[in-house]
Amino acid sequence: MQGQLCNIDWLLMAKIFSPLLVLILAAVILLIKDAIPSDSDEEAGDSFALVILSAALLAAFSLSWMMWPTADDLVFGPFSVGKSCLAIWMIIFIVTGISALTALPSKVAIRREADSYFAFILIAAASYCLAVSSNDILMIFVSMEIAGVSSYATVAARSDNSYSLEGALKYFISAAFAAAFFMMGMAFIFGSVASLALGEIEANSKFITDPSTKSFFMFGAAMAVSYFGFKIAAFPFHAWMPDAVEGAPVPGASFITTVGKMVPVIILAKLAIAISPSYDPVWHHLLFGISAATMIFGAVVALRQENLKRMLAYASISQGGYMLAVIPSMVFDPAAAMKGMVFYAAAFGIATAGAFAAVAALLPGSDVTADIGRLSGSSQRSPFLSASFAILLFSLAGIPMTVGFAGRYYLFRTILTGGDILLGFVAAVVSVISIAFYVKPVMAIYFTKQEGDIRSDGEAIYAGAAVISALAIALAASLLLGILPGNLLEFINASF
Amino acid sequence: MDILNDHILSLTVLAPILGAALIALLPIRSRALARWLASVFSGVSFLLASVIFTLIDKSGEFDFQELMSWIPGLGISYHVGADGASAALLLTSSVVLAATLFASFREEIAEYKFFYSMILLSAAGAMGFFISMNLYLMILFYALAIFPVFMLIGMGSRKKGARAAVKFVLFMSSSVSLLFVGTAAVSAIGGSSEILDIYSHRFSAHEQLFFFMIFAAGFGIAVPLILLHSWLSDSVEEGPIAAGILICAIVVKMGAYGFFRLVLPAFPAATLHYNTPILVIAASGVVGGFFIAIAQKEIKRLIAFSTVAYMGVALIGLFAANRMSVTGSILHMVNHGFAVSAIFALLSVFCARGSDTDLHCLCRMSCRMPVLSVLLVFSFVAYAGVPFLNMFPGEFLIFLGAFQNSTCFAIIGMLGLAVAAALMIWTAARSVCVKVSNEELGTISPVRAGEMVALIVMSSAIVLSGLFPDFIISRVAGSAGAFVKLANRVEMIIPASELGYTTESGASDALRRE
Repeated sequence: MQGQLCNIDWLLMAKIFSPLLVLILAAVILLIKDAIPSDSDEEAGDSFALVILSAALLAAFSLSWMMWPTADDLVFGPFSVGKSCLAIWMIIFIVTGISALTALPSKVAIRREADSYFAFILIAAASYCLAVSSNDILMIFVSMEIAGVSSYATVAARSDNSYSLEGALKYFISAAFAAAFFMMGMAFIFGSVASLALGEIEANSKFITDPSTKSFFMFGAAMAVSYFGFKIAAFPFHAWMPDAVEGAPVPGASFITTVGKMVPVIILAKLAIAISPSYDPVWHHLLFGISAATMIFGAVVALRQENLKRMLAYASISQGGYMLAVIPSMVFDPAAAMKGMVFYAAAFGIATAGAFAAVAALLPGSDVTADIGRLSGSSQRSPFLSASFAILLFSLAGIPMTVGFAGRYYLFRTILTGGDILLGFVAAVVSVISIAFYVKPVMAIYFTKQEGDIRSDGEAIYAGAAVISALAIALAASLLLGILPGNLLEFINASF
Repeated sequence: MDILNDHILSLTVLAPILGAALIALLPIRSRALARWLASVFSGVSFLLASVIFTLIDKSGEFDFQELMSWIPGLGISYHVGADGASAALLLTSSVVLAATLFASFREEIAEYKFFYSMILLSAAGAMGFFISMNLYLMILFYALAIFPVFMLIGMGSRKKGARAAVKFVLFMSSSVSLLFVGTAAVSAIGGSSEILDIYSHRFSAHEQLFFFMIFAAGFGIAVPLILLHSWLSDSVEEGPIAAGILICAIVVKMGAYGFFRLVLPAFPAATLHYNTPILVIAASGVVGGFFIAIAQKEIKRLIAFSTVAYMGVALIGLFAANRMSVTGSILHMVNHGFAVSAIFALLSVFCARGSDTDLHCLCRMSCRMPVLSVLLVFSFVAYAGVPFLNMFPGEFLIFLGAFQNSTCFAIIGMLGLAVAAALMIWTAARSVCVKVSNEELGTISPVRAGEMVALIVMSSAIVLSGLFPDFIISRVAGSAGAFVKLANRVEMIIPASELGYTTESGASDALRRE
């Protein structure tokens, strides 16, 4: 390890990791400002934090964008950064931006902690990026946990709302359990293949012949899978997610359902490739079962939800199942499967973050309550916001002309090319079930008739510039990439 | 003019989409302007569609083709083209669009801008569906036609909860899902989603049976095959008249066209295998649909069930798969669209004057609007399939053809049609009233000249296409011939060893190449 560290070209590394350094720097600035007591009004404070956050994300995005065309796979000790990594970073930056910008309407809720709140989101985003670029299980674990700790804080930010605290506590405790599992799994993996680097695991696990060593290895890998199951909120490990999302302020809820789900899925895919030489039918059945159960469970339970945030949480559990559905076919053609998954993850992340932005805009005070019934008549109060929300929900449901459809088409093709007809069938059935709950808010918006003049009575819709721009980015991305998915597809094809 | 020459098909589809976007986005608060815009854009689309139909190549080749690379990463291109059949259905869609707008202008809808845009979008989707030569594009347009109808049903529904809209969207999204999985699988195995490539790809018998099941179920929901039909009656009854026209005149045709364009020609071995079961389902649809229709007192519901039956007739024509029956089938679909639009347009005029759509109400209105009642009776008579009116030639050709190779089903279908004729004429009789008590007469607004002109144009179209069916037949016969050749290909008998994913490695090679 020492030798490795000496061989690293630190300057080059700093250059490659500059997007993440920018995010960390911005977070530090926000934390310092938070520590200085000020008398200025809260709104100015909020705007300052938002400006810093947007600028940092924008800078990080442009830096990655500039490095992307010439990027080679560079290895720095436990990290490796290449085109694929930069592509995932860029997706993370966009989705984080959309999530964080929904903060403005709920500024009343977050109150004075606005600066630190955004700092937490930035730190979490940076650590997720770090986790994506890690090639070593230990490093993955450390970065995932840093991201996790910041995420608990974003959930708990509404100290006046007991649901917020309850959700954060649940999140924290189940994550702690998961981390313990992972630690134990790592010990078993290290014991059986004598390394924690993904490449070496892949190389060494081929030569395991001793059945007891093999079973140790399998046990360790299963522990690792359950850790990521917790993070993704896959079926048997999902219980924390709906509560955390319901209690969290909208930006936090949006962040943990999007980035907090996309990144572990991608890392689990990398892990699946690493353990693929010792591929065993058991793996297939295990991943198949988790994926199918997650899709079905999330969709069926989402049908019964009356709270919009909770519904989106269950919906995202189901969507996580779709992303997991690619993993069983990882073994046959890793590159193709990875492309399908990343495309879908991007489509899902953008549309979900956009949907949360729409919730924040359409339902004032949605930090605390977000009943679907409150949407009724909003098509007349604010036709454009309502239409955008409907389009984003349709995108999530995979209805054509939106990026969700393109993503789902690509995903299905990947699953079917991998030969998993049954899983494709389950996914198709679930996508019908999911229509039933995704149209519920649309029906509340458009189909409920209200007496009297809706413009004057009913709640006033307060949507600031930030949330509107978040919504606009998500909507434009969903529609443009839905009609012309070719560009994103080429970008992803060139990256992996 | 070059743009018009090279992209006339795309422009036909684009016109309603542009109209929809303009109406939805312009900050206008004037009903008149919105209506005017909608009419202009649907008029443009109608003009272009008629030009296409008049000039279409009669040999059955695809004409007016446009090919653009669209999503090269997935091997998907924007490829449209029309043969006689698709041009005929394109024209039908544009006529139906006009009729739908006519009906919707007479309805009180609070969010009229959104409502009109949804109608335009749905019709544009259907038009695009009929001219797509790429399966992915086809499914995309299919969904574009379907989901706006869901919004229409929900927004215009008089009942609370919009149950019918939910039913509609669940059935239809099952259909879309099936088609979508089928498309992904066909293009993964066959290596291309171009329809012509799919025709020429040799799918193994096993694959053909599988794909036939998926696509037949997907399109069968839309047709609808009997047992899959329960969405149709509820949506038509509870939804507004505009949604009723779109469903009965366009959505069901998309299902049948899916069979015509994809299922039969692409999977001929499976077609042979499943021929009898599908004919049984279609024939029971004919009989069942008409018998259920007899019991209905609500006209929209009655039309809905008779639509199930008439689409069964069209399917018998397609699955009999000879030149005459297939020509008849396409002609039947076109004319059914015209007749249904005329009946619904008339209903909308009645409803705008306070009537309801059940027979009792219509009967009471009839003596106060004698001219309209005559037109309504006339439409029902045409809908019954009386000679010299539009529905007759198609049905006649279907059974003339079907007698040659599916005699039994032809006889069952004809018996069904006999019931239909009796039913429609009885309905026509029940919808006019001879005697009325004076105290029920109140003031109602007279029929406006514009309405009258529109209705008379529709009626004369019914007469004209009944008297001169050859205008359509001559253009459709060529593509029916091409269809028959493809659907009757004597296909290879594949040894059992070849079953399964014989082409899988080829497909993933193709994916890698992309």
